[in-house]
Amino acid sequence: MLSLVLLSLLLSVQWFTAFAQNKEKVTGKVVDSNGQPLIGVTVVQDGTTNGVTTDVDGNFTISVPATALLDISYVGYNNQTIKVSIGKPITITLIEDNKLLEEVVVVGYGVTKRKNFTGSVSTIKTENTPLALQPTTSALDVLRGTVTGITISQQQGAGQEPSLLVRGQKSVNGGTSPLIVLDGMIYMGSYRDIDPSTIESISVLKDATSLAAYGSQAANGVIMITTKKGKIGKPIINISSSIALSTATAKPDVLSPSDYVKKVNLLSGLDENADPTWMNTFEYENYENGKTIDWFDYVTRTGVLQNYSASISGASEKMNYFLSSSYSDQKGIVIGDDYNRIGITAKLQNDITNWLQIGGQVNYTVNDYSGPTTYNLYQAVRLSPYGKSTRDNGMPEKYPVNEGVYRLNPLWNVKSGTIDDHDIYATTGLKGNILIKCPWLEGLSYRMNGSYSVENIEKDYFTHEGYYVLEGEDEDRYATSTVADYLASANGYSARTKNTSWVWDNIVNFTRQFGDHFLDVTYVYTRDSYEYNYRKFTGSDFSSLGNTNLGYWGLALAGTQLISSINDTLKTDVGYLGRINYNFKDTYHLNLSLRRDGSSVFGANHKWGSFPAIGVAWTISNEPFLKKISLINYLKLKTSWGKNGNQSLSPYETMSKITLGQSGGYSYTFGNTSEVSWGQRITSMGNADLAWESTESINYGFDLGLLKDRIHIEFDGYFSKTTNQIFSRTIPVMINGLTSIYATMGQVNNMGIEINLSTVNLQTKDFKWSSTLSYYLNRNKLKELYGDGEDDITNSLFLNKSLGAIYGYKPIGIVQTDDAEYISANGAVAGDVKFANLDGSSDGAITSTDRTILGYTKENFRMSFGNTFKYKDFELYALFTGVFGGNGYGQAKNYYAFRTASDVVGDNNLNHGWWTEENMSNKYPRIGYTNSNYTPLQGYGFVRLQDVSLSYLVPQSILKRYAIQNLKFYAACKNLFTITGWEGGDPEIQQTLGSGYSYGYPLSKTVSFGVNMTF
Amino acid sequence: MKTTKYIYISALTLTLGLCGCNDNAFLTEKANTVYTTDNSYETVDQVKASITNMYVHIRYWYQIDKFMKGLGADVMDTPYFRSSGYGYSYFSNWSASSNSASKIYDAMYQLANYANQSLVGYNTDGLTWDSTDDKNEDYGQIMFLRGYAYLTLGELFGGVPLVDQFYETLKLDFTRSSREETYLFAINDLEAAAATLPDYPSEAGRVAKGAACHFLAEAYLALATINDNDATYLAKSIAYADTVISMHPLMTERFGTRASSSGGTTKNDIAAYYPDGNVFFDLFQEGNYDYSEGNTEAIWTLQNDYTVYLTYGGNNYVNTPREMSPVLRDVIWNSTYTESNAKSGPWAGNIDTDLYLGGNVCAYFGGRGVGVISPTTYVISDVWDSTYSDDMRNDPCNIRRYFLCTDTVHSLYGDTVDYDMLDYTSQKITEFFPIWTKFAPIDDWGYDDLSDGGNRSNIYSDQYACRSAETILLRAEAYFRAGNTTAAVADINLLRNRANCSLLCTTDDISLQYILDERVRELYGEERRWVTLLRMGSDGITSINNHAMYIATQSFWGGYFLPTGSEITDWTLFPIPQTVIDTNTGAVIDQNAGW
Repeated sequence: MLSLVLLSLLLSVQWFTAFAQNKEKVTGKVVDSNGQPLIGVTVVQDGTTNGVTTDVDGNFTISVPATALLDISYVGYNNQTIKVSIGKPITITLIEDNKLLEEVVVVGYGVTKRKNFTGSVSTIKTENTPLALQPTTSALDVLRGTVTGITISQQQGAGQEPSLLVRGQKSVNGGTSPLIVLDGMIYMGSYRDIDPSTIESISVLKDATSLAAYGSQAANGVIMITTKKGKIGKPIINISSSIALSTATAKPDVLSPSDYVKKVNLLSGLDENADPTWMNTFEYENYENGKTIDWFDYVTRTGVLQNYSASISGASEKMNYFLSSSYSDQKGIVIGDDYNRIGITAKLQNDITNWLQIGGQVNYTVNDYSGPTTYNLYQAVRLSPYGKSTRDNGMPEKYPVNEGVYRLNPLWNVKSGTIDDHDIYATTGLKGNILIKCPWLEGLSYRMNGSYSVENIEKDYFTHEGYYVLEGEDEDRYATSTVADYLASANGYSARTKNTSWVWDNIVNFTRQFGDHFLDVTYVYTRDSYEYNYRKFTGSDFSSLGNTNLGYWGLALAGTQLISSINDTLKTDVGYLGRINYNFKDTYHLNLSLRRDGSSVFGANHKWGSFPAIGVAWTISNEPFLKKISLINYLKLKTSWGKNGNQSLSPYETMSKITLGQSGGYSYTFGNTSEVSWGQRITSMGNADLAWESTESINYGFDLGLLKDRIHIEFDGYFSKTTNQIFSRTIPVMINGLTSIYATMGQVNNMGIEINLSTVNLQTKDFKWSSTLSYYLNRNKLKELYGDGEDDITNSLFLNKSLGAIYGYKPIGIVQTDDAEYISANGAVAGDVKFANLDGSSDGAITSTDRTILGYTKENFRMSFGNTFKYKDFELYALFTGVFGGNGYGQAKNYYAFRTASDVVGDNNLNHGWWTEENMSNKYPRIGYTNSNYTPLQGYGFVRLQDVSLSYLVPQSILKRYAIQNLKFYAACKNLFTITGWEGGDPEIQQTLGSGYSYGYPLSKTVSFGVNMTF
Repeated sequence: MKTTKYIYISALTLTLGLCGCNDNAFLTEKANTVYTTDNSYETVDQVKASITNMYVHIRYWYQIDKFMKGLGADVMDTPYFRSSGYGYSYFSNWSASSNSASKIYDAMYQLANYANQSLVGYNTDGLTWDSTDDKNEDYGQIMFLRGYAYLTLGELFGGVPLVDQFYETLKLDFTRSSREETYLFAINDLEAAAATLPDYPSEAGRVAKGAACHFLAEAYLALATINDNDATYLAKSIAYADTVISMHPLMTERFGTRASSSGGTTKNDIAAYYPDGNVFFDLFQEGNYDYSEGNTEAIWTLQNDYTVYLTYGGNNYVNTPREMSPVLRDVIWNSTYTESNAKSGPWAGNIDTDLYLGGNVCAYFGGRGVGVISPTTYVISDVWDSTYSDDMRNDPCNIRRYFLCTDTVHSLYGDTVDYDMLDYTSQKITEFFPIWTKFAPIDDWGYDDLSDGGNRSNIYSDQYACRSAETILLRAEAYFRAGNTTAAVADINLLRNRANCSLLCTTDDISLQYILDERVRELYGEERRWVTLLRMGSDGITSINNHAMYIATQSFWGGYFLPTGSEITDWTLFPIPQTVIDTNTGAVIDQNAGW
């Protein structure tokens, strides 16, 4: 597969490669400002692709025409162009790039230099950094712990997409996902289609002025992803591959088999050490023989992730190309969870004339999730250790314990061969752009970008009759002739989704420096569209066929065939943006913008909204009085205000809808005919006034560079107010039978601070140690709800409190035998949980007025600490991340870390004791205690070594012999260890036994090895 | 140069200008695959679909959600092993915000509003029905269901806002009518229905004149009750009941699918004929519920169909075997009877599956019962003292009280397990109670889905919304309230005689509680018990206080658990849901007394 991809790439690149013309031989040496030779510097004949790189001593030799110019470029240094001098060797001194001032910041519909930027943005470069070495399939994973102000979930199942939250939860009910902008255009596709190996950098826009460019879609933040481009020089062929092995970060600690028997005995009303006669035959046999099974081990395995990618890229002054393909194959740590992805990208940009540039890009991605997978692993925690996973003939047993219907073999779907699952996501993306630089007015340009993307999702699923094997103990249940009785239940479906999106941007830009005045004016007109198109066909009852050998391919033969769904929704947006950036002497900066947005999802009376923003900044370090202080080399103060929106409505949500027919699902049958009649019912009441949720925010902060940027501090603070929240408002049922309607009301405030401290701690010729410490704190407060000044206890929403409140009775220990007063007041028995009498009622009875806010699911703050050590050709990177609780924050419900009883007596439980008269615990209640008032919380705070990588760059001296430009070996680990007080699973995903039947997919601890080669 | 400049400028302006002017067209929503209220009534079939929706809706509140049938009242509750004492009848947990009563309030207003919306459809200009009869029947059904909704609301909540039109915009200023006005509104609708509906259901499942008259009898009885047993209203009630009873006479002989010793359809290898059955048994056999199936007693039946369920799912099933059967496999022996190799309980395992197909979830045990709902001691034994020993409703084929030990390893295998052999010190005893055959079939003949891998959780027979035995009890109550005890007693004895019960009611016996008791014997799990009790007011509350699971001592379980709740003292009506009061911001809706 890989070699095929490579071959096609090699062939297609042939015609890009230019011929070098033999003219004059020029030799030279490239050094830095200290006179140290620079290795691997690119030296290219200007306007051609004729180029070389410097050797270990910084020397180069190139043949060029005598009149040629040479472009010298090196990462981290300013580019230089020099005239060729024939004869004597030339020495070129490259000046280190002053990153701060000249770094380009990607902003909405354009770029700007960091020095002119008034907002708040965090940029992560992934190309050629340790971050790119992470063993992952998700492009956005690099943001975790490296960017302040953003919370990103860990990937659990193979190929699953993370969720993102920027600067706190602003919307109570609406979406919280940020807008993704890929190479300058709004991206409406799935994260899974962004190939991590093609990413150059990711920026997160957070403040209102930066977000203002995206108006009604921007309130949850904007993530700008820039993909790799060809670089001037000779074509680069890059091949990298890695393999990663993973296991679960945490294994649920369950009762030992003997404690399990004691527990069930007691719950069954038997003596602790009684003979467990409640077991069924095979369970009892296993018990007698001491044969146990560890169900968590049974369902998990060592996960394997393989990533391969190959790319060819290059550029001349006129043309830039980048071709890449990648292949990822992931076997998740739960058996059956398999995933692979193929990604192909081709990019080409060409300057046709000095005023016209065109570019195009094609992407193709296929994600394959086929095969049944179990994501909820509660069975693997709950099942009896004396259960039976496998029958005598080596095939899986569906009912591993007594009372099987709710206790199935967790791998029954995966191993029984009775489920067929075909699950493919294929996306094709096309992009094109035209840039016209106005030849008669310097600085004026018009750019048109267009993108078009189609995602096709194929989902076919089939459940064979064998799936419906009955409970019991004999093997006959599995006989073909027995299960043939269930052919009427065999069923399957075939579903097709087509998501089509397009974006069309028109950007007129005028950028020019007039003496001390810099002006950048942008006008944008944009439209986009997203269409979701779905059809699903189901078939069931194969009794007339006698078997289901064709699986879902035989749906047309089903006794019952239904078109269960055809759905098509279209969402369209229009936007106008005007923006002015102005600065005077690079010192006083002003940014003004106004976006006007219309969206089809908004109610008929509210189709349009306006989103203004203003930002100012002052680069104090340019002022004469500060220039004297050598300690400070850079200081900029900035503040901004703006308004953004959140489109939390889905298409047609502002209309009154009815449901009818078969897809409505209200079936009845009159007249004993088995003929179905369908009901028609109103499902929602429209509201033409619905629109966007609106967020106003203020950002303030500073950038400070000390000791020639050895120390760099970025501080940002913000305050935001989100109003017109879209709520499902409760209405009197008398109006029309509906009990809710979408309405806008309520207000949530967010405030927070973000601090990023980057330091170069040590730097010698061979050794460099740099580190980054970041801190992020966010608080939110529900200011207003339904306008009646009342809390919404049902939904745990409390005015003037943070979102994520957990409300209930406060446990203060366990009722002991001598707590006579409490026992009589509450009809409690010793061993029950004791609740605080918060209302101070004199009778000591615990009633609903004793409830209080027990804690918040939201964390207190996050910190991360990254270190990079470079010694010669070795680079070691380690990133610690931590989520901290305290002050009631960072709490989550963790029932079974305390409680023992569950709905099903024979269930296993997390490993801990229980209250007995002999051992009067004050932490764990008595064994059979269940009470819906009991909500035990536990802190999920943790500190973990999230990423660590070690890479070795093979010295050029060795590589020269093999015509290899760069060769890097590396090892990278993820989630290597974790310190936490959380019980039952991983703290980051708050994994534990849920109060119902749930246990989330485990998080992975991964070790990977890889190689990266450039020719 | 200048020319180029102008070309550029005009091209640019044109591009931007052109797209700008049709922005609004671009943003207009066109729902391709969704119906909106704009196109909901273009044909008669859409009106009929609206009516079908109401049948689907009300079926849910009879057979899926069983609260109205008396959960927490005198007859049934969540058993102790599931509730630890905090069952429905732990009334101190109830408030205006609690879900149980408010969901019925919502359900009935939904029904009323579906009717209102159907009326909008019915009155749409330009619709043509096949015949006047057809049109009248549709109108009658709409009026019936709205009347039924308001009658139920009045009985459970007292006077409520009377809404007779469908609002498409917000209205937040509803006010309560009096209970009498609510009843009169319901009567008006039901009388309109009685006038237009056909005599008998045009198709099984539809309501007809009998149903309208049955609920008119109930409505006038309710109206009389709040008016000091007003004689005129009682007379009307009796007159409507007379109509129903003459149109829907009681079934008195064996009939239908399992009554004939010759022929019949074999299901799951079980012969159709059930020799030990009786007419009461036949009333609850699949295929016997509808008037069109020869059951004259049936007034209004809720339809279910296995084929439809298999194809489309939905609520076309009855989960009473699962929810209302005991969990016999969990019950354990008391220590005297535990044997080392045998299972912990008489029905837990070691079962001969040739005799008991399905093992410990066989039909003999009531299928795969999980005991979500348990009868109270009042229902299990109080109303069935030994004097009712020959009442066929209490026959083992209708109420299964005793079971043989099925553990082949146990020395008592094959013997009847007496209650005193069970362990009354374990909570598991509360998983034990008798099985009503109307909820869980006596054998696999009733489990339609077994051949498709079903596990005896559900059945797919029709269910009664009402049958004339209930009309008779309504009339008995009306006679009693009117002071005509002789006629009241005669009505009760109509049912006793049909049940071949040697014990007959006398004028000394009769009381409202006596009528409530008889309702339990005849209609347990069928009647909307809460509606009956709250319609009666404090008399109904008394029965709750005397019998409810967590208020009265439950001797059936040997006093395993003691009452946790306290008696109802201060209310006779359900609370108006707090959300309704809170959200009706334009006017005040008063709360009922005691909440």
